[in-house]
Amino acid sequence: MTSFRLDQGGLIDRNAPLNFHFDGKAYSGFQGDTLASALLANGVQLMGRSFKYHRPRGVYGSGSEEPNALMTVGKGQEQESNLRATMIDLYEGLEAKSQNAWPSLKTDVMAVNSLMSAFLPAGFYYKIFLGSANFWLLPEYFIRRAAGLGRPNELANEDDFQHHFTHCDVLVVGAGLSGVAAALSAARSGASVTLVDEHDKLGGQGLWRESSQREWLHEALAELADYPKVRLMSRTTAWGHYDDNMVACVQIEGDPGAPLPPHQPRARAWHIRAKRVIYATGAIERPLVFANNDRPGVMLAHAGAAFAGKFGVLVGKSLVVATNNDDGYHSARILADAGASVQLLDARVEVSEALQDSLKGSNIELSLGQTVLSAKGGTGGVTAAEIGGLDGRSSRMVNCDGVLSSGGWSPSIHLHSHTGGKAEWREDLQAFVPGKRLQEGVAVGAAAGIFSTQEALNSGWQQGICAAQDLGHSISAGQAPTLGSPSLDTTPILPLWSNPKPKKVKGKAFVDFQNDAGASDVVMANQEGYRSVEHLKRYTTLGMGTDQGKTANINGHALLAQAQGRAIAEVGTTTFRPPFTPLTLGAFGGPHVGEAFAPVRRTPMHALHEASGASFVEAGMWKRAEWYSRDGEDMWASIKREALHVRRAVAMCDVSTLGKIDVQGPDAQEFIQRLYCNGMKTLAIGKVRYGLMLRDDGFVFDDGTVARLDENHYYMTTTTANAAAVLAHMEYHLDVVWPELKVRVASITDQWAGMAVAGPRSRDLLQAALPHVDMSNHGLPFMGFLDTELAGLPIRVLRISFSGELAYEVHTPARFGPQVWQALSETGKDFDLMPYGTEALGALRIEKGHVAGGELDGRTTPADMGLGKMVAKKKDFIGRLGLLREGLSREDRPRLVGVIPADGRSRIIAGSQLTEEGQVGGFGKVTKSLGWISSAHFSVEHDCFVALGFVESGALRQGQTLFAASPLDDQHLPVNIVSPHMIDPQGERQNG
Amino acid sequence: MDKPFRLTDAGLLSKLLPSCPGFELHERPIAALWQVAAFKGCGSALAGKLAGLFDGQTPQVGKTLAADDMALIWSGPDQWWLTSETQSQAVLGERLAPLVSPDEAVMLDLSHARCCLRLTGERRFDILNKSCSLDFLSFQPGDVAMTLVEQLAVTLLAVDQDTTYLYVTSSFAQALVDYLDHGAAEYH
Repeated sequence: MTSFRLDQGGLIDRNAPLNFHFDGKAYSGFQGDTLASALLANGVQLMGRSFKYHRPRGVYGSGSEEPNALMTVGKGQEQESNLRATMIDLYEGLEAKSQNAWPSLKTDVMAVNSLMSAFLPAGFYYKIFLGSANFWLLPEYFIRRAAGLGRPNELANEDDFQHHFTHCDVLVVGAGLSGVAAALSAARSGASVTLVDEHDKLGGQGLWRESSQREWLHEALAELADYPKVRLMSRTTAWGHYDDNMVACVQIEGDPGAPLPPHQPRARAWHIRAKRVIYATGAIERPLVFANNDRPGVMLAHAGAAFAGKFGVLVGKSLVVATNNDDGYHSARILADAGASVQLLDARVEVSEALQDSLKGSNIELSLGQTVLSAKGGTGGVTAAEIGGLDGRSSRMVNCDGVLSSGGWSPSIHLHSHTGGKAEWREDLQAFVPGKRLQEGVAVGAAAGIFSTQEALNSGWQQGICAAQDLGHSISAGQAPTLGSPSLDTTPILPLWSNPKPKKVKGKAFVDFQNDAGASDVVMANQEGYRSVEHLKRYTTLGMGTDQGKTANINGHALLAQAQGRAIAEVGTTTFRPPFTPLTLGAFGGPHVGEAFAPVRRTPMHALHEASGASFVEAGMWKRAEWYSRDGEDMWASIKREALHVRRAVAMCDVSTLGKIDVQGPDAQEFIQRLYCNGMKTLAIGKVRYGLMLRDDGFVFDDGTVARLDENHYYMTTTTANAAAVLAHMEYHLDVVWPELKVRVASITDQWAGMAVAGPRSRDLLQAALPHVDMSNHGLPFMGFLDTELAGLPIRVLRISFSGELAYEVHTPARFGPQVWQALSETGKDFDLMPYGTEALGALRIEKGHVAGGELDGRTTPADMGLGKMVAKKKDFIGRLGLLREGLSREDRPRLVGVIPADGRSRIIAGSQLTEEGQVGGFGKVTKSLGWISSAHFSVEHDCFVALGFVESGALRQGQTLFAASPLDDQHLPVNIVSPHMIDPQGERQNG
Repeated sequence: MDKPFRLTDAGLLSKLLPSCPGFELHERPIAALWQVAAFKGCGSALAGKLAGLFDGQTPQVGKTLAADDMALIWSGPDQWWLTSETQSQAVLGERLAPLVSPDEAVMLDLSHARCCLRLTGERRFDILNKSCSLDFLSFQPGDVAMTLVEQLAVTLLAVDQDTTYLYVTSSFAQALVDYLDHGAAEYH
């Protein structure tokens, strides 16, 4: 056991012990621990295996930068993989498993890869491709199995996820000292403030570094909590900064892997729209790059200090801390004060007196001009380190149980970069800081490259005031507090990107731990021509993975610059893109899963259909009654019964879903004229006309009916599917193309319920229901309408037919829909009225040869559908010029035909290709297609399947036998081409 | 036939509307809802005439006016809704018609096309903000917003500090209530 829990200290609650399991073994920790800190406290250093070489790995960081300690947590549907142990708050009963190891974490068979690492450098699989693409197929399976992270949960996730929008004047990302200072000064100035932080406690490292900081943070956070316009959000990661200052965050509300009570969200996705954003996102420590720097027990110096200070866990008793900057002294001091024996190696030969004085009173042994060259150890942790000068000579081995390094700090500029902001290289810091910005976001504290505690706090305080004042808030926030922490940044950082490797030492020096990319890989990539940082990333995978190179990028880019003899500023850095850290996909989906995936639209008569045993089909967002089952019928029996009843008696169908548009204005007639390709000018008041609408390119857009209510008032219907598109089409032309027309259009789909009453007895039924109205052919002829009342309710009766039978549509204001339906049903009992659904509706219109969605597919012209004669010759209309194109008027274009199976019984499949004999090759492939089946259904009149389709020179082929080929269904069916009007071609039924 | 109407009464909307501590949802009746829309360039003239119904108060973009159990709700550029919970569609139409010159504007009955939901309680904005991006901190009494709630186009009306009205197309009313119910569940 090389690490342990300290007797005191830390932010944990020692009165709240928690039990948990890791790889099946029981451990305990405390409330306030993370999984990583609790494992370390129990002496567990081995926490994972690396992605490619399966090298043993331990925890490396203490926060969201963690590249190594990835865990699978929970079981069953709650199980989540690839979670960073440093970000999992411990809870009672937590169950964690290691990943990417078999049969066990300690004895992983695939660790053999490590022995073969010389043959598996970065990009080795690309080189396999170079030989033979086919050869790749053989090793690919094994490579993919051997490499990887955790396995995704294949069970359906039934967790609740929520979305939430909010607004504020000032959003502060990061609740360390500078962030809290910014939030407080902005709040005191009168601004509304949201403060988010990814950790469970707001306050950052100030909570455990110094008592003066801790006290001020507690006071400041308490004051912030009292402001009504301040929102404090912990466990909330700001993962993306988008246009107009929309910052996307995810807040973890339910512990990963833990069962949740009903309706408790697992996570909440926040969309925060802020007028100003302050990035107090801190900085990420870089490791030093040396041989075997990935052994369990090797970690960032700051992480070691954080485990001691925040969690009361000492990561080792005898530690080597190597640094090239002043902050390593802070970390070493914290570790030494916690009881560790610390040997501090500073690569710099000279440092300030003040810095050296900061170690006084501790038992830290300082060696200048020294660094760590190699770590020695295995799955059990570090046992020794080889240390020496930067020349790599005169090295010596020292025993230790932990090696910690600090290679400098990289400001966390991710959110700034998301907005397109530039990164600027600061030579004095050896780091990129936020440069030119494109949005109202500003960095403070370490995120801006300000590492002195007091200066960082001051920067936050000042920017909080500036943001508030920019927005017109002028209340004085007072002066920034003085915490009395003197700056020790008195000796410049020494650029140190890769330590020399002692002779006889085996093992890679890793730059990107998660992707097993080493310093040698960077050099090799450069040698092979991958000279851009972006190419380096793709070739070596450096900077990819769940950590996105948080600890790796700068080292990697610096090594590339070194290899090219260029400055780091010249080489640049890769582009940071959202998300900042991995997110659960559930948070993106939010509540929109299953039945709630999209809103459901119901007709006014929906409940009546449910009561009548209807099955529903989704038509856009509508739920439409598809068929009504009776007496245990199956679907086909129901459909046939309903369709036959329309042909023989009378039945009623809910057509409320049809789009309905009100058109009014002095220029309404002119507008309607231009909108439809057929003549509308002669449409008389009280009459209805079928209309065909084209797109600009001449293809049919939609069809429907137009009823003229008044001189300047029209009542249009559209297809269900195109209702919104047609309205948008009309509004576009009124707003943009013909703004001079005085016309207003509006959707009235929801205002009116509609029901089609169809069948030879429909007139009798309506006459019985409406004894005060003359329903004869004279009183209400085909394509006429009238307004009247039924049972005291207003209705509009339109004499139109989609089924080809004598038929009417009864429309009524929506709230009266159920009453009118029931009134007609009541009267209909004497006529054996029954409801019919969309399946029967489709079957009937196909028999009749009426076109619908299958035919109006955007590829057909009026002539293609046999409606060419409708097109007006003497007026202009949308699509007229497009329709004149030569290709659209050719006689041999596919034209609408009826199709009947030659054997009179086989089922024709919609989508089949129509072809001649001998035009179907191997695997059913159609070598020459003459057309296609657009829609098909069972015909009750013909007692077999019938179809509509388009075939070249359509009418001329009537009487021919072709083949309907559907390779996907392995069908090659002889069919007869007939007239599309497969019943009542003269229209005697509907006109009767 | 013009009596105040509620989808809940007609069985078109669940009678059991969701509620939780800090949130209550009720349906308000709509007796009449007329949409009046001006032609291009006629918006000001129409607004001036509509002011006559509201003691000379001029309708403004994004605002509502109320008087005599009527409300005038801005519903888009040069377009308003005149609605009432008690005055019938016919009565309200008769009051509106003289103000609407056929050369300036058109009027359209949408009394059946919308459902009005009344949201009260301090939690209502938390629940609405789950799917509505509106900044409710700046949504003050008298304000009107045409926005989206759960992908659905709605019109929101800030009645007073404690009450918000939500108008949604009737066919989506149940879907919206289901969403609000789900959003309220965590506060039970």
